[in-house]
Amino acid sequence: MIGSIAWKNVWRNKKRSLVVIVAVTLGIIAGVLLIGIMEGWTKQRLHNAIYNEVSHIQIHNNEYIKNEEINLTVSNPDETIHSIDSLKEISGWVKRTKLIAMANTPWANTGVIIYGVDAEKEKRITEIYREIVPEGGRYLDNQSPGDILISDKTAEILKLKQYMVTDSTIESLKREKVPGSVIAKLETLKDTRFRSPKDFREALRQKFNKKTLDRYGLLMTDKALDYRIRNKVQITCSDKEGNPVQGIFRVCGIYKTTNTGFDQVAVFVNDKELAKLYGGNEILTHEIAILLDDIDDAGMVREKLSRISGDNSVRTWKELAPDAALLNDFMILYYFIFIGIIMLALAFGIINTMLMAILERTKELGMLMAIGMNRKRIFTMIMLETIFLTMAGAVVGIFSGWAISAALGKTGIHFSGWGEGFEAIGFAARVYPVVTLEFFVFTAIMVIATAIISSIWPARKALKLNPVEALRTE
Amino acid sequence: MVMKDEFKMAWRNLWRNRRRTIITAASIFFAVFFAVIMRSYQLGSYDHMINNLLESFTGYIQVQQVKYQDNPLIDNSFDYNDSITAAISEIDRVVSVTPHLESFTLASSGTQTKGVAVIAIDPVKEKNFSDPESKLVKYRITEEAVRLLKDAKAIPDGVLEKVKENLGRSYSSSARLALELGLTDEDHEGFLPEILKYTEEANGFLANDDNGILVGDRLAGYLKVAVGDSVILMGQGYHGISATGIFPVRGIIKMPSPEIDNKLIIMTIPAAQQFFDAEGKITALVVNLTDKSNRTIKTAKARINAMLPDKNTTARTWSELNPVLYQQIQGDSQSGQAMLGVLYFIIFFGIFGTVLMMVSERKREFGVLVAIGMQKRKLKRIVTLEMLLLGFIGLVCGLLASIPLILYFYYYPVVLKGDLGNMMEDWGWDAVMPTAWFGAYFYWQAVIVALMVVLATIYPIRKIGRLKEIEALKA
Amino acid sequence: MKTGCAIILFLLVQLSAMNALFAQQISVTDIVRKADEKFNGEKSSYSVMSMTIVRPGWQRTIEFKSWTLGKDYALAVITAPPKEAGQTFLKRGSEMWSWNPSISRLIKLPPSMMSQGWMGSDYTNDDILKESSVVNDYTHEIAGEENIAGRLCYKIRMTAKEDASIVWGRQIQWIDKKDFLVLKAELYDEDGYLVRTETGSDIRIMDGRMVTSKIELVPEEEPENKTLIGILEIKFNAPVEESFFSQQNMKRVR
Repeated sequence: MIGSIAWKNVWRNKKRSLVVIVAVTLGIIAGVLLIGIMEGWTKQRLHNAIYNEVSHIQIHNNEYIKNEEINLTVSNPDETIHSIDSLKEISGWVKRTKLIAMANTPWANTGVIIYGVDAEKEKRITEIYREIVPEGGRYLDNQSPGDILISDKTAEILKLKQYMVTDSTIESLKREKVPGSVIAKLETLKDTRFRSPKDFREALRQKFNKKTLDRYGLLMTDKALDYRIRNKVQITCSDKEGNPVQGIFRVCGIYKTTNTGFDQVAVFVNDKELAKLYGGNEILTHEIAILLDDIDDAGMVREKLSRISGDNSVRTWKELAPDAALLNDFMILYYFIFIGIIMLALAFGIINTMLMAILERTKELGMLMAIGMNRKRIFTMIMLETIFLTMAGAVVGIFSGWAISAALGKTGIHFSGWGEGFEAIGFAARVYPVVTLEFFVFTAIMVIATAIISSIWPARKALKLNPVEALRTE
Repeated sequence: MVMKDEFKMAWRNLWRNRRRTIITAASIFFAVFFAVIMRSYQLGSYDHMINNLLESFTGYIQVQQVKYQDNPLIDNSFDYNDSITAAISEIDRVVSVTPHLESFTLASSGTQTKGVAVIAIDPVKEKNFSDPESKLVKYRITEEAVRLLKDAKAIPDGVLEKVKENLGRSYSSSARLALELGLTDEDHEGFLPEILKYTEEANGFLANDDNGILVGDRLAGYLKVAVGDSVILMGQGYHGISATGIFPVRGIIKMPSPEIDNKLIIMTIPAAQQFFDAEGKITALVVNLTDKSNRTIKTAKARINAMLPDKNTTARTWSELNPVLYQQIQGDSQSGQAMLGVLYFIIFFGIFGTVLMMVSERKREFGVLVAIGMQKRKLKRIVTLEMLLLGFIGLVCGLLASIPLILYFYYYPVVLKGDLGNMMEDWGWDAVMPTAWFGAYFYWQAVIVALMVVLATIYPIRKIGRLKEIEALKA
Repeated sequence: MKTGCAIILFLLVQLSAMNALFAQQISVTDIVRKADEKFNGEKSSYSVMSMTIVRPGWQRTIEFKSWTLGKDYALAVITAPPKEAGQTFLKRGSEMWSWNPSISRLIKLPPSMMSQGWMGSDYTNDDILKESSVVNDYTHEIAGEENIAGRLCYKIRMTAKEDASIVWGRQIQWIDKKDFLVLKAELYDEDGYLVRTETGSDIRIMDGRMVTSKIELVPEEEPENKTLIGILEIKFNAPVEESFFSQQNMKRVR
């Protein structure tokens, strides 16, 4: 009964109620979106770290961790694999050869970590095969053993990421409606090969002014990009006796993850082919990477495996990618503080508005008390009004917030490079906001709590009104 | 005077209905209060992290040879000039100038050989920068130490278990050791000294002209060297000359980042210059400033560049040296601003809500005034004055109220615990989240809230404009 | 040191007045093979050479003696300048060692060090470590005849074979028709871009053979950089035993 009175009261003064409801709604939507973005971003980093780099658990020889020598292979690999297979939490595993090597082209050389893998099995554990850049060839293929997969960064270092203005470049630029004058100038660079992004940008800078570059620079660089797929890369590494050995691989594809540090050194080849290089009929295993069905099982599985690991060390993603783990923790801290302050501000806003409302309704309240409504009822009524108001806003807010973040969750939000235009190193990043059920529940609870707490003071104020005086008010 | 008249009326209006005034002023008060506190926290904590990073890693500005950034080779070093260095230290807002000579070479000990990074420093000056001395390993839990502890029966089994769990770990300070072992306060008092006694490890730093080296903890493990042993370094020096030398290990140093820890060698600049055959040369002068505001950095950079003798060397800011970091920071800062935006939104509605209520409550009053002849324009002016006064009171009180909080959390900031805190401690930073000292942001928040008040005032003004006296009187 | 071998390779490809007679009647691959076999046919060699590294702003010269036995053994000792003198390098099969008297240490060179130019020169690890065979790793065709420094040369285009373990795409060599001296070689990457040019000059007779006593290597991207090799003395097939190429001997040889 009080409830329905309270509810009707809420709608009696539409304007006031609307203000509070809109405030709460929009506040919640904004908050949800923001948190969704940060959460999405964090989850993405975590996902990338796990599915591109470290998986859930990795096993190495204890000594290998200190010094990556070819002979420090995982001890008792077969037994270890056997134990892994016996666990039900496992989703999959792979064995890898992992060596330190030098990669060479006629123009440059760099240190790399070369992974000898089985391409098919690898696809079940990592998602690097999905990270092949446009016009960047393809992933490894067991049918094509002499291939090597390198990153965009490695390609750049080895001068395999080249630029050349060709007829097709001109064509695609024309299709993108780039002005004729710009294209004409670009044609003067036609068929000259630039062996690094820097060289090409330098040439462009000499031809065009800043404004043109800011507008079309990225587009031109994009269309003139030429990855030298199928070029040779020479790999120098140690054989089992520690002598240097060399072999040639051909680039089959270019990949790019969000972690340049990883990209810069990781190259992938067929494990059998690599074994031929370091002298073997036997493929050496330096690393076993494991994927679980549930990330939360990592600690427990690690415990189980550690018990039978002997000379090997079993590590979870938290230890292998500490920055991703830390980011997670840091985010949670951020949420609490952020939500705390928002809720506090919201509470004060509601309290203020309600207090004002009570002031305005002094006469009405006085009347109610005069005709006999007891204090408790009045208190409850005011409280319910506040709660209904807030919840109305909250419900609309949460639903809209959910709808919007779900929609954005599919399309993603496009953050173009923070740098200005052409010089941007930060290429377009796409964030997919993630809002979990737990978060909504948490928010809803917070809002209810805020509403209840905010309602107390106005309700008490209402009680303190003296009915006689109240009736006398103008 | 007409204005004075209106002013008096506005003032009296405010105090006629104290409660209403207080509530409205309170909404403004809270608005500015929260805005200031939130921004202060954001800026403070963020600054804290960045400053730590800059002060111990990249420096605010580095003087390098022109080609060094693209090709960090020892061939791209430049002559160290005492007087120029001194002159740079004298520049306004320069806190410290630290020389570095960095290169890569091979380290060998016994049968182990490994590529290492050599960072040559001035042992005294480096304190102001990365302070390697604070990272020297002082205690190490070795098998021997555990055995001795067990035999001596110096500590109870529970504590011994904790020690065993951390077998192989090394520490730069007793505090850190205690922290990682998870010693309670009583354990601390009774048993820590014993643990320290058995885990203590010989260690030393570099003297000014030392020809010895400090070796990263993991690297030392790989090369199997300890204090007193020697390490051979060989590689290419300046202009391709073969560089070889034997260096005694003076101390083991533990770097928080494993990648650095397993290839770091620190020596004095004279020793490195001799080794690489690069007499009188350094690869960088690292300059720390008082703050990282654009203005400070720009002025300092210009001044430094003016002092450099030729086109061979140039000053580079940290954002030029590390553009990826810079953009990460930009990105993070923008998300902080977005959060602030959400806050602004909410506090605006707080203000607006109260104003709305106020107008609603005073509808009759306005109606009466207009009915008895007051010009609407005059009424509008009075109400505007009321809002401005309210705004002023609220702002000032809000700002004043925020001051003690900012002060408190500046001097006694929230301490970070857990993994994040540990990581920061490892790097030698305070694991805290402080507020920022008073700065431009302080006044900006006030300005923004003032704007909100002005915006909110539009409502009553329009309401008055559209007022129909008859209806108002009926309210 | 392998560089010694590489240098010797160039030298020996050039010599042989003996084969001049057969030049007209044999195929391209034969020309190259004969030149190459000259080298392999030599059982051993001893040489004294100087290497000058030229860079914008500075240059440095070292002198060294080297002994080779077949393809697998080589020993070189630096004789000048004094700061570098006494360092020795030993190659046995695919193992490489270096000895430095100032620290009395024998070090096995790891692969990561191979990327640096030997002694700071423009000779890369490919030259030093791998003895790619000019004959077997390339297909050859004559692309004409040209005059280099007054001498008529075969211009031979060599294309790297698909499975060869070399990083180059192509080479063009100008081999003197009369004495089979390589007067010029250009090395290209797979996309057909010139990476490096090597020229031989200052032809003279040493130990009874015609050789180019100066060889110059210029990287295309940095034309101000050069490495110059000068042969001061050379002897062929002087007797030397396999035991000569040992770690103990590294420390003794002068």
